[in-house]
Amino acid sequence: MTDKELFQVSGLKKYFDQSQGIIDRYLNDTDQVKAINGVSFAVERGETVGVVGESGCGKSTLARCLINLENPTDGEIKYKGKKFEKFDSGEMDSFRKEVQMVFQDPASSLNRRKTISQTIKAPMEIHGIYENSRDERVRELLERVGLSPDYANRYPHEFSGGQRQRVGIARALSVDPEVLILDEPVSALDVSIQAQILNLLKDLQDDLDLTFVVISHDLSVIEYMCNRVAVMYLGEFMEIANSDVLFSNPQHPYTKALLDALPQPVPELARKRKTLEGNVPSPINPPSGCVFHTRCPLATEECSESRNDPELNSIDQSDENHKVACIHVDEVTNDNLKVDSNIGNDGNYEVENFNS
Amino acid sequence: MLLILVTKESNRLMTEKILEVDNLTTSFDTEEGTVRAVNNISFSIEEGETMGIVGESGSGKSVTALSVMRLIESNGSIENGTIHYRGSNLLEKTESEIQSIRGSEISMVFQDTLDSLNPVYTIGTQINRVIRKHRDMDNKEAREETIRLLEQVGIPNAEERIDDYPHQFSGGMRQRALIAMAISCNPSVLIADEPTTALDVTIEAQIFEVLDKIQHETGMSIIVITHDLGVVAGVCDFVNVMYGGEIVEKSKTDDIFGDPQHPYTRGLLRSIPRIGKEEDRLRGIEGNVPNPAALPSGCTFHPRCPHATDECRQHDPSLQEVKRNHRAACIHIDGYKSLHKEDKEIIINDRKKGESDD
Ligand SMILES: Nc1ncnc2c1ncn2[C@@H]1O[C@H](COP(=O)(O)OP(=O)(O)OP(=O)(O)O)[C@@H](O)[C@H]1O
Ligand SMILES: Nc1ncnc2c1ncn2[C@@H]1O[C@H](COP(=O)(O)OP(=O)(O)O)[C@@H](O)[C@H]1O
Ligand code: SF4
Ligand code: SF4
Ligand SMILES: [Mg+2]
Ligand SMILES: [Mg+2]
Repeated sequence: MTDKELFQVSGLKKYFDQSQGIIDRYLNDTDQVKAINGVSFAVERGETVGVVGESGCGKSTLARCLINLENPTDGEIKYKGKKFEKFDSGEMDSFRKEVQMVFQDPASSLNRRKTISQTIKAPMEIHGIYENSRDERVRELLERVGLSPDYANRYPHEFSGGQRQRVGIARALSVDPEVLILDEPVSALDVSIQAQILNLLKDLQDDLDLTFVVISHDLSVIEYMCNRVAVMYLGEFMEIANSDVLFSNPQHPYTKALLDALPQPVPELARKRKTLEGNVPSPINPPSGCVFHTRCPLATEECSESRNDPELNSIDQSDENHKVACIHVDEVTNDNLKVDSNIGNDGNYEVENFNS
Repeated sequence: MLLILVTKESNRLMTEKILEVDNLTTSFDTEEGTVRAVNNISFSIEEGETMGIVGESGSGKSVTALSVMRLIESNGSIENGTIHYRGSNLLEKTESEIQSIRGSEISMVFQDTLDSLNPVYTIGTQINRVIRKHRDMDNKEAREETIRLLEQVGIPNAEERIDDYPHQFSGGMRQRALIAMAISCNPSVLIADEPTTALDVTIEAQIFEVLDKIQHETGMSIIVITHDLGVVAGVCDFVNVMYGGEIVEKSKTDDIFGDPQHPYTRGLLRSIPRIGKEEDRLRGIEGNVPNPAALPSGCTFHPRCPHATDECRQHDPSLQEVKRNHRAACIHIDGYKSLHKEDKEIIINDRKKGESDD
């Protein structure tokens, strides 16, 4: 553990009971949804860690565990070196102040009946801070997130989706947090508004020395925002690496499949989009061995044997940040799954260079 | 050389357009006043082509599709325009004539929402019903046809899954079932409105693979409606970009992405982070998507356009040819051509830089 580490997650599991119906409940026959099934990683001060994966893979559950909204089934989470269970009430208070969350759907995460000033003030009231300067603080925060301070007394329905997301961010910032957990911060927004919010988040991070955990299903958002990225599938991490490495030199077959399926706004690349067969299996009964084996083009019989459930392992001694959970990772380095190395580099399509 | 071009062009004009929409305007009466959701748009599509309509929310994409299907809700109406399907104007047809075209000649797939399939009937029953409505088949034949269709859209073990209820299907499988239903009567035109928006990328890629396969087999024309420029880039032959109820740019897919002309299209493309590009900031578009009940005067895009002048605030530009088969609606488009040259120089310089870095 270094001083820089804010979160340290080890062997985290979160299972939910899910009874199928009355009969099952009567027979006490409940299924368990294995939403998170053994995840370990750390978040260091000042970095932006991304978690990317398909719907239902456990991203939001992980976020809820990080802010102590869920009780882990197994494993532990330490914040600043101390387990949540060991917090005294003062420490729990400062944790609740230091770690804030921004939700996906700006419409439903704001109270319709409160003015945005009331909404932004609420966390300050809970934590008893800025007692004599809350109105001023609201105006300052609104400006900070790119809204006119004159909007303070308006209601959420008077705002567009992007503006509501700005309000959500202002609320999270109101208590001077150190960490923001952002769960799909832009996926409910229009493309042109997404870019504005992503820029805003980057500015805030620079100005306020924030640490971000960004959760998204969108690889391009993750690449733009993050230093380090974990790829999640069925409650487990398949690969974790520094962002530039993950996108230029992905090693896990699932990471490659995700990149291949990404519809890039570049016709040459988008037409070459490759399809990963099959569906995500149920998290109630995840496949034995490597959870990805039912869809993996490289799967062998070994991969499905339960004793072979691959752990995240370093693959390169010079880069201990790059870890992959695949028993055939040596073979993946061949061309058999090669991601097009041209992605985004095609000179003809450098539209971002246009000035207008 | 010139001669050849001319002949090619006249050949092109002779091929029959399956669907031709001209000057379509559709509006709604709302509490906020009249909303002109679609404003004077035109497009056409030939057999076997895939056309894209791309735009942000509220730009009028769905209303365009619903207008073609004549499914506009009662508070709305088609104010102006014609919609020719195989040469005859759909807007002049009676409701019963339209009903026989809808679903069999032109059909539509919506985004899989919970209400697109009825939860109390099996998947098979619902497809079966559509088949028997339009095709002369008895129950047994329709069931066999349903199984064939489910297989065609890639549902494994179709003969077992046919008796499942919608909740027993995953989102991707439900979307496949909706496609099976939409193609059950061999339509000539399939309109897919955000068909994959609720789906994961890997499932989205599967759905478009299925649509592509069916198009190869049947030659149907497809209109893909989406907010996702990546989807458009991958599947469409040509693209219409919509903003504030209007088409602001239209061209072949490669030209839209390789040489976008309208300031809005360029802004949209710049808004998307690119994999493999070091970017500090996204140079997207300022401001918000306009409220359709209070559209700006002149060029609808002017409050957000970095090049807007007084002229733009007063005059509404119409689509004009900027390059061969490439149209854009912008008053200052000529100004861009020169700007554009500078942009090109930046690109060339960048490329040179890239080469010397290697
Ligand atoms: N309270 C709960 N009770 C039962 N199952 C749950 C509960 N919360 C989550 N799950 C299940 O756990 C799994 C992971 O859910 P989670 O919301 O973390 O996914 P996600 O990765 O955030 O997905 P999305 O991208 O769709 O938001 C899913 O199968 C989900 O249905
Ligand atoms: N039935 C309706 N009544 C009133 N307004 C409508 C109706 N349907 C659509 N609109 C309005 O028309 C505009 C275009 O909508 P739509 O075509 O659904 O946009 P999108 O491009 O997101 O599909 C929006 O402002 C929408 O609110
Ligand atoms: S362990 Fe086997 S199934 Fe899993 S990713 Fe590696 S090759 Fe594929
Ligand atoms: S007409 Fe004017 S405001 Fe509209 S896009 Fe062109 S330059 Fe911009
Ligand atoms: Mg989630
Ligand atoms: Mg729509």
